[in-house]
Parts: sequence; structure tokens; C-alpha cells
Amino acid sequence: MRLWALLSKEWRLLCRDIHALAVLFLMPLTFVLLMAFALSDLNSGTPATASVSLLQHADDADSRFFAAALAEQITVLTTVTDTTNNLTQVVTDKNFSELLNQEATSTLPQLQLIFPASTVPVLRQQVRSAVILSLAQTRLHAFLSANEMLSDEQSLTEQLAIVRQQTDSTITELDLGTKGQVFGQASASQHSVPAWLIFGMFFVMLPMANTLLAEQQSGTLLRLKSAGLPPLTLALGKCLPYFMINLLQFALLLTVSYLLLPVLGLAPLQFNGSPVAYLVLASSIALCSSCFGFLIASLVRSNEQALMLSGGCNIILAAVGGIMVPTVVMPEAMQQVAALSPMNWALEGCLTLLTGHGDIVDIMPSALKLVLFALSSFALAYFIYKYKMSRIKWTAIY
Amino acid sequence: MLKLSAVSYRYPAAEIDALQALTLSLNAGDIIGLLGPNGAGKTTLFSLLSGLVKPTSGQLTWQKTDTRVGLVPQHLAFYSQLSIAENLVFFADIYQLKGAQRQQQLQMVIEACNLSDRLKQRAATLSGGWQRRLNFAIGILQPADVYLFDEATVGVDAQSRQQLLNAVKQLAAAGKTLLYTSHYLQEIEQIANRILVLQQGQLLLDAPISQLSSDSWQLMVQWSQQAPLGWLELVAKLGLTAEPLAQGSLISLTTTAQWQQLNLFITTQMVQPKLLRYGRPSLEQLYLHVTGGQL
Repeated sequence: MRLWALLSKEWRLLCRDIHALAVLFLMPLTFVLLMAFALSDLNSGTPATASVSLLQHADDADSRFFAAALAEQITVLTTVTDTTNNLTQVVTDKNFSELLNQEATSTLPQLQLIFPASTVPVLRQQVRSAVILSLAQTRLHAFLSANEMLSDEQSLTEQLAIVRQQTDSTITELDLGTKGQVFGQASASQHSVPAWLIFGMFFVMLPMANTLLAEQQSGTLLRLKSAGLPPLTLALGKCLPYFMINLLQFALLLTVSYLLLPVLGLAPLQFNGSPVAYLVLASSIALCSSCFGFLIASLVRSNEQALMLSGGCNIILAAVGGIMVPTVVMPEAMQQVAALSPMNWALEGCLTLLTGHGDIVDIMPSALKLVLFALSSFALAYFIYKYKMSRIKWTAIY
Repeated sequence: MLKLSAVSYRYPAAEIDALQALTLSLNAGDIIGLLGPNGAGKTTLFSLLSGLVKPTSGQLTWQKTDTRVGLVPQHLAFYSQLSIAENLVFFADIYQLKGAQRQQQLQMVIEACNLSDRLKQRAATLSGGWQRRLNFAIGILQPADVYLFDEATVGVDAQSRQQLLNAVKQLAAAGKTLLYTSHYLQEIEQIANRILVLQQGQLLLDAPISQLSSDSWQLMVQWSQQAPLGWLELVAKLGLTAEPLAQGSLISLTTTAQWQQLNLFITTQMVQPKLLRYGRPSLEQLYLHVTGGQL
């Protein structure tokens, strides 16, 4: 009865705290939608198309064919404007035809790529790939022409079509599942939604810390203690409501993402994997974040500290754990550090289900790590909380 | 009900004891006005009685092991985002009140603190006086044998204060033991039947208020020049002592006859006293006298 009273009180207080509700529900939802938009092209294979300006210093057949082949791959602007400086420049030499057929060991460049310094790696790679393919097609074109397999009567477009028949390939990209099965490539939503959902779930630290502080500062904790409430009941009365809130966040944000993303024209979220596994994973993440939140709440002594510590911990865990930057792009040493972050375990578990089509066995390593972290956090937090309770004074909190 | 034997308490890292070898007993039905200047040890005594701290030395012995202590702290110890009713129901759950007793206690505190008009209003939106009433109500909601009231009526208007004092009297009538601190000494005078005065952790006074009242008729007299001939002799003849003050003397009287004789002497003098005051000192005067004027 006492525990139930504590739980329902905590729920009531939270439902009336509009700022806490915004932090727990509105902010993660905004993150999920914004990041789904921002990363929507990441896995589609067609990130924002690169535009280049082509500066050719020769006007021979090979140069003309190269220009046509490159224009098939990416947008080629031939008109030099003021914006040229912000474009990647593809510059060919006046001896382009001779350099085209030189040995690969030659140190003379066949052409130069000049990127604006701010060009992101994915766009550089796109231009590089397009240029390499166009160069290969131009070499093939030269070979076919030399062997009279192309005639001068054929237009450039026809010649390009014949060359492309020889060079184009049809490739299907598939993802490998946890059981060795293959599936269609996961959309960007499958990656971005769980990352920012987990980020939002760990934000329970802030309202937890604030309510705990309010109880200490108002003297309500003194009343609860003098009423004979054991510290364990009080600790559970603080953790369990936020555990349930975390579960609600998990269910609500996934449901809203599932319903809203297609409406917004984004790749839909697909719930792959076993439903029981989702429940187990959600419970272990919720346990981890609520117990870690209790640890932070028990450590702080002021609202300012609560804000700094909870916000700081959340951002550091997210940055390290692959929420903000995927761990695959991190150096190996950093990846090892990432493997220490509970957010990384949670994300790995979610991706195992959403992109790997895994089941409960597959998410057990992640779930177990989360639960162990939760139990350790709770034990430490309980020790600190009990110590603080033992030092409550009549008129002031120690 | 409770016996303190040479109880001392020293806060961690403090150099002196906040309470020094305090020996006293609390009995059922005692309504104790606990007085003392800041730092006297009142809060420490409340902390000891409520079980928040344990004595550094000495013994604190409850007659019954399951004695329950109800608190009305000075600070507003409730959830400001819950309504009055929600706060009361929550604490009724915490105090494990059930069935008829629960209804009875809730009804009692709502009536005693006159809360029925605003039960649904959130505590944060109440005025200071109403919040104080809620704080009071939560404290007395708990069925307890001993109640500790720490400045329970600060900021409450006179009418509401009287209502809260009536609630305290009801508890006293029900045989509860009450310890009450307040800066309003008239309040203590009105409800207490025993006065404890603490100073620097030591018990300066422990006496029934009736004794303090009946023994404390005093005459303060100040002559413009020397006291008239025969005055000091009369005082001595009546077995009284004149305590010298800065500009006169203070004589404690025990009988009306003594006053009548002194009064007769004064009225027959050619030169009347510059100052003549006769009466029973208030608790405030007694308190200031006992503590040497310290507040």
C-alpha cells in the first residue's frame, strides 16, 4: 500500500510537471523525427547528388566522351559562374588522351579533383567513384574505337550506350541477419529512430533528480522517514515509476515513429524480430536508465548540479555510445570505449532486432549487460541515498 | 512515557555538545512549552525524540517500544503540486491508516484545520497561512503518542491560529504528550502545562506553568533618591529579599498580605516612588529573566 502510494504520487507529480513531460516525450520525439529526416538518404545509396564543374583543356574525342560519361553519373556544370568556387572541380590536362592510356604506375595525374575544403567524405567518394567509372568507360571507348567496334557514324550518345552495356552492372545490396539470413537493406529510419529513442529514455535522470531534491529540501523526506518508511521502499518508490515511464516512452515513440514517418515521406519503421525480445530489451533499457537516473539523483545536491550532471552524462554517454556518431566510423580505440557505454549496449540490442531481425537469444548479451549495469547503479545509489537519509536533520538536509 | 538520562549529543565535527547531559522525563498528558534562544538545543532535542539522531552519550528510554512520534515541522513538508486532499490521502497511506480509523483521522484533521473549503486546490496555489494549516494537518493526521510542534503556527492569522491551538488542545485532552516550540510565547502560555527552558544545550528550567505563575508576583520599585527610612527593615521583617536592579529593586512576593503591608508603607510616605510596578510577570518576562535576556 505504501509503495503503491509512492508510485501513484510520483505519477501525479510527473503528469503535472509540463517541463518534465516535454523533456521525456516531446524532446525525444523531436529528435527522432529530425534525425530521421537528416539521415533519410544515408542508406538509400543516393545521398545529396554531387555537382561538379568540368574544366577541360583539350577538345578531342576522348575528352568529349569523358564529359558525356561523367554527366551520366553526376551533375556537371559547364558554365563557369560565381559559384564555381563552391563546386568540386574536375580538371583534365591538355594531353588527356595520352595520359589516359599511360601505365598505372605513372606519376603523372590523368586529371585533378579540387574539392572545396568543407566537402564531406560521402560527397568526395561519390565524385571519385563517378570519375573513376567515367575514366574506365573512356578507356574502353578508346579501345573499341581503335578496334573499329564503334563507328564514327554513331552519335556520342549511341557510343556511350554501347560502352555502358559493357560496364554497367546490376547489384543488389542485402543485409545479413543475426542467423545468417539475408534481408533487404535496412532504411535509415531503422538506424536513427532507436538511437534517439534511447537518448530520450536516459533523460529520466533530470526529473528524477529534481523530485528527489524537492523531497529533501521541503522536508517531506523527513516526514517519510519519521513515518518509518524503509529506505528501500523509498528507493523503489522513486525507481519504479520512472521504469514504467521509460517503457511508455519506448512504446509511444516507436508507435508514433511507425505511424508518422511514412506520412512525412520518410522510410517507414519496420518492427523486425520477436515481440518478446522487444519487451525484454525495453525492460532492460528502462531498468538501466531508471537505476542510473537514481544514481545521478542521489549524487546531486542542487537543481543546478542535477541539470549539469544529468545533461552532461547523457550527452557524453550518447557521444561515446554511437548515438550521435555511428561507432563504425570511429577509430578502433574509440570503438572499444564505445563498448563501455550502456547506450551502446541498448543501441546494439535495438539494431539487432530492427535491422538484424534477431530474436530474444540475440539480444541477451545486450540485455544482460544493461541489467548488470542497472543493478550496480542501484546498489551504489541505494548506499548513497541511505547515507543521505541517515544525515537528515530536523530543519536542514545534510 | 520517556526518560532522558544524562543525554548528550554532539554533531559530527562540532567542538561542543549541542545537548549536555540532559535529564528529564516526559509523561502522558504533558503539554510542554519548549523555550530557548537560537542554538539552545531545541532542534537537537526534537531530532533525538523523533529518532533522526541517536544520543552521543546517555540514555533515552521509551516506556513503550512502539511509541509513535508525530511531527509538525517548521518547513512546509508536503507536495506542492498535489491538492490538499491528495496530500492528506497520500500521507494517510504512508501512515498506514485503514478503514474507519482512516476516515475518522482524515475527517478530524480537515475539521480541526478548517480545510474543507479548499480540499481540491493545489497546495502550491494556497496562501502561506493555508499551507501552514495543511502542514499542521499532515502532522496530526498521524496517530501518535507524542507530537512535536516546531513553530507550527508561523505566518498563520490570529483566527486560524486559535483554531490550530484548539486542535492541539484536543490532542492534549486525548492524553497525548506534546512538545511545542513557538516564538509566540502567549501561545505557549495558553496551551502548555509545563515549561522547559534550554540554553547552550543545558536545561535551565523545568517547571509546571502553574507553579511559575503562582510564585511569581513581583513588585518593582524605584525611589527617586534613597529608599525611605524603614523600607529595607520592613522588607527584611517580611522575610523578603530585594534583588537590586539598575535603578531600583525587584521583590518577589508570595502572599497578598506581604503586598498589602508594603503598599501601606508606600502610600504613607511623603515622597512617592519614581516607579512602582506590581503584578505577575508574563512568560516572556520569566523567559527573559531565566535566560538572562537572550532571545
